[in-house]
Amino acid sequence: MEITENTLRALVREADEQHRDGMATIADDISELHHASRTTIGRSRRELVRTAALAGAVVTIGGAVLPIGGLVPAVAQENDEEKELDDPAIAAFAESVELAAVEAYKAAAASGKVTTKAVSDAAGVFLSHHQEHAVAFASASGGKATGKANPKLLKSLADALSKAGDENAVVKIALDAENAAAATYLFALGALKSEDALKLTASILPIESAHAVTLAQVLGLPPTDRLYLPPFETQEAALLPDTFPLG
Amino acid sequence: MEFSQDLRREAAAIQTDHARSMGGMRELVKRLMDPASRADDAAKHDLLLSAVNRRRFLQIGGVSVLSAAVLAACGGSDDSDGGGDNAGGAETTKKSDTDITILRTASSLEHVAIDVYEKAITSGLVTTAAVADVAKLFQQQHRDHAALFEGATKEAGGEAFVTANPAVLQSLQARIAALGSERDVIVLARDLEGVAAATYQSTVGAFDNVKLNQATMSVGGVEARHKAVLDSVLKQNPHPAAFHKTEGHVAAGTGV
Repeated sequence: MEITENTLRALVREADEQHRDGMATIADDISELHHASRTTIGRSRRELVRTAALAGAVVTIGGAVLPIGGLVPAVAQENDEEKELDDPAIAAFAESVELAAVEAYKAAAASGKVTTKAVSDAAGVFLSHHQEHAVAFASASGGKATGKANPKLLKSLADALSKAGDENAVVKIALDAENAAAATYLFALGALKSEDALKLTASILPIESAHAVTLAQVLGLPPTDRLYLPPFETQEAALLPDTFPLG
Repeated sequence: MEFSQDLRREAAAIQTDHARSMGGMRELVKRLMDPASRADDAAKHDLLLSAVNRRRFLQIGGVSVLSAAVLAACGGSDDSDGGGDNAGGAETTKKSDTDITILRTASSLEHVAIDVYEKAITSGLVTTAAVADVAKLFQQQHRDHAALFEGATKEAGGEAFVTANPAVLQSLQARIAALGSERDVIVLARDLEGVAAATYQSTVGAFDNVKLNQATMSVGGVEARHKAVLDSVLKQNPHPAAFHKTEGHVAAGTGV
């Protein structure tokens, strides 16, 4: 394979930037390690609140990077020991996430930016799935579900959609949202207690992952792209209740 | 091809920088994983692979990928005196025959997938380059999954199951022997991915160590992705329902 010096130089520069980006916060990570080592029982539920506060946490939707740490109220960071989410609260949060996805797909369809019929058809299927997920989570919420789309998430998605210039940009937003939903449910699996809630969440996570596959294929992402075919699902892009509170 | 001196210097400087920082990272990880460090599961989780740090860690070192959840699930058992800072006894791993059986079944399934993909890759039946590339990627990911489940089995106090599940393999022998085309191979792989995804989903809620719910679904979601890819190659609907089902799952303990 031939490679020009300019190409190589660009690749080297990119690798260097990635490296520096990764190393820049290592000191903070070590400090965080010392802090985290003191955490005790019941941590998983608090993680849903606390993790958002860690330096550098971001959620990326359609190219808009939201710095979670800066959005989490200081009181939540300090008093997280007192804030625990029960299963109904987590289910209610999940319902709000699903309804935000429903509204986002509706907005995408109405935007006129999605012009390929196959993409439009897939979006319609995904919308209906999210609607069903919302109903299921509402049923598991013990009356805590609001029946409303998560306002902050919806605004983030709507803002991103309004800036999207073409179909691919819209699809990228949907891809990020589906991956974020899958990450959120993986996170939730570490917090939920009841078997029913666990099983419901485990039945939805793979659906969001499969949605992401189709959207990544539309974008023509290479199989090695972690937004498409990661070796493991992660909590990296999880949406958290303190960052995206119920309305 | 010739490279200019300044490019060589640039690359050398980056390498030096990288080596220096990786030395610290290696030391940090080594100390973190040392039982004497008394770092609890949460600390390992956060530093190594959590929502915040996982991408960073991968960017830094390309270290073999383990699930955050499994790391979190596995760390406590090394704390031999059972006390120390980890007052969260509920998070400390205890030997569980249930967990061990499920994990052994899981790794045995991953080895079935590894073997089937090996068969696919070497059979000569797969002639489409893109399909061959995907098969190799999926096989590597199944190796990662197997390593994860094997490690978790050991951490849970059991003996890792490191070969293909004999019962499942036996049930597939006729189909494997009858493979005659690329499509046959893809259909078999798709079906196996579906079985794996259903199996991992079926285990959620059954673990004594609840962190393993996350660990198995960190893999289960990926198997669902694999299945969706193969469905699309086969031009079949990758999204037949709003909820994933456990039908066709392999019951824990089968063949192991």
